Amino acid sequence: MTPVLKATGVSKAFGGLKAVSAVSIESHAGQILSIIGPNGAGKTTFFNCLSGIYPLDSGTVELGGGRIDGLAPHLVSRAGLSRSFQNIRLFPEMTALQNVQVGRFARSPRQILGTILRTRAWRDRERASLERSEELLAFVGLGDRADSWARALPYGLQRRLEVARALATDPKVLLLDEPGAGMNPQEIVDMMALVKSIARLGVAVVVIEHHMKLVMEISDRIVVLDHGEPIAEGSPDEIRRDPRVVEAYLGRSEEPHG
Amino acid sequence: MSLPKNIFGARAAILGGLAILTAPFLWTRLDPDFATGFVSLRLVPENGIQFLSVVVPAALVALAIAGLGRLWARYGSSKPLFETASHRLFESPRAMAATFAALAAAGFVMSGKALSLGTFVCIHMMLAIGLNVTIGFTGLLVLGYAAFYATGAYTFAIAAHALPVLPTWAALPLGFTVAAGVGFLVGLPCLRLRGDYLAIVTLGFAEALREILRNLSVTGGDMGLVVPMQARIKAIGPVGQGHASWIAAVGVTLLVALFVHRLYHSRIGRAWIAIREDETAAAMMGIPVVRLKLLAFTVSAGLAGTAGAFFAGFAGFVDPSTATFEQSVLILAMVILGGIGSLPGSILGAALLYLAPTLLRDWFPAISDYRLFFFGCILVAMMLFRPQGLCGSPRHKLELEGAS
Ligand SMILES: Nc1ncnc2c1ncn2[C@@H]1O[C@H](COP(=O)(O)OP(=O)(O)OP(=O)(O)O)[C@@H](O)[C@H]1O
Ligand SMILES: [Mg+2]
Repeated sequence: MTPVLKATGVSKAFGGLKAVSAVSIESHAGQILSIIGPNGAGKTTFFNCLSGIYPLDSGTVELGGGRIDGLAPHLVSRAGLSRSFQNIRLFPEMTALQNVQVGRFARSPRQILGTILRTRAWRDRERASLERSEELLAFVGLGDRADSWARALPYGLQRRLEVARALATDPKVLLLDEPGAGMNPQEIVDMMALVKSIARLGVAVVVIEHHMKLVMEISDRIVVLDHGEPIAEGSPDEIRRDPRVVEAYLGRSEEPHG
Repeated sequence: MSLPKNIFGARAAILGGLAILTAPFLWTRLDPDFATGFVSLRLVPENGIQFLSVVVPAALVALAIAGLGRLWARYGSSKPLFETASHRLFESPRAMAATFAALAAAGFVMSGKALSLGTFVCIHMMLAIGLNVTIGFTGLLVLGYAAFYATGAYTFAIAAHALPVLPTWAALPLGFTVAAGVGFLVGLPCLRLRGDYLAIVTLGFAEALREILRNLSVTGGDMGLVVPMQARIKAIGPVGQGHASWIAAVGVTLLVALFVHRLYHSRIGRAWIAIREDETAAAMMGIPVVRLKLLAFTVSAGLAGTAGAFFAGFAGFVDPSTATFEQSVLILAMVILGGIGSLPGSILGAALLYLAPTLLRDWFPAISDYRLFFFGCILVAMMLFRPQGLCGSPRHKLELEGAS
């Protein structure tokens, strides 16, 4: 099976600090790939490289067979890669529904004249975008909070809203940066169930997560980073037994954030 | 949002303290006597009184607006009163038609002075609505907005001289298109860069444009241009020239507001707000940030051009004062006063700020000499007591930096 997302030898340095060195991943439709590693390992930087926020120093990123490295973020998004942010980055002065509707931007046609004249075609498409956004809100469990201001939602729901917004761009690949950060144990379990159900839709999911137990449970494959370098890759069972991983990561503490 | 009451008091105390500190400089003058070499302190009450007669009405206007805003905020839960009312109005063609008819009919009982004042208020409403698209929706600061007002006004005046058959209504598409085109060209280089180049570049553009207008013969130099009779707004049957202008102004203002309302409630408007809230996240949602900023600024410039061309057709003359810094500040103050990012806020802000000096002039004559100072005082007082303006929500603030 050919991977949807294929990153090869991605490197990024900040001055003398090699934040990401020659990291390669393959992510397949319907599967969950986890990226783990201690704080400062370069996980978020790697996501920023994939999503076009940082230019790469070297390496290539392919999505569905086409190169996406070097593209601006909005073009990466159009090509089918979407993401959430470790520090939540919603649009606070918009409602939950409007946040998700923003995600539909590139998937709804350009119609300036139709917008001004409110033509039938414009109204039909606006309604379609609205319905899809409401569907996604319901999918992440926010069906009854559509009209709440994003800034007024509780933390856990803000994280879910970010996932819905990312899904609204119809991604082939979804990058989730610590979707369970700052949540209580029950919320984390629910979030991981949501991540699984996204993969079941056929999306290739890449997750950064610190909670080892959950990572082992939901992942199809795991990549371990330490000081920017990939030190291991394999199935959860292989990773659990890998001595380098145990030393670099598991050995230090069972759950660094827990 | 509930501010603790003592903050209100503390701010008043700061203002009072400032007043006391500045008082000796305002009320007295040092007079050197060269014959004796002594310096004597002399009381000069005129200066101080003049100062107060600008500051006091400004503070009164600001306090009235802040008070109104707070009062209304208490009733609106998540959707403030004005937003809801404006939404109902612009979603209903029937309500718009009724509003138009009522205001047009009111012209029959308005004096000539009131009609002309009302027409000027409408022109400033168009300007505030237009500027709000860039500053309020998209979060980009523009300091020389009057340049596009002047562009529209001069475009129509020059075109009317060149083409004696040009009908009055042509002002609107002509003003919009030319000013939007100029806006596009000015915005293109600065919006590609991250940061607030637009503010400075538009300011420089406005100053340069004014100098150009003052020095070219085709623009009539300092005297400006007289618009040929055939291109001006004319009396129609029983409706006099002043009344016809008022009806046209109300109609165009409603159309401009409807235009912006519809853009705001569409994917384009949502993209603008998203850019204002978080540029990086917006880009990650597939929004071409530069292109949408440019669109916002182009639309803004176009609307200023529409207002300018309307002014030319109404007033019958154009001169370089349309492009002054004072004019830019006035429009900016209207948007801030009404509430950055709020369409009804821009409309109300324009009305309040345009009418305030005119209505207060009889009691405080100093205002007409120190208009800029008067607006400045209102803005400072608003920033202290109600930074979000009349209709704004507490978090709408003028962002000087893009999200990083
Ligand atoms: N914009 C930047 N400029 C300079 N250094 C940076 C920048 N972003 C990240 N770094 C550095 O790169 C390294 C990797 O950071 P990164 O945020 O990618 O780690 P992480 O694996 O996501 O950590 P965490 O688990 O804490 O989120 C860190 O040492 C960090 O200080
Ligand atoms: Mg991180």
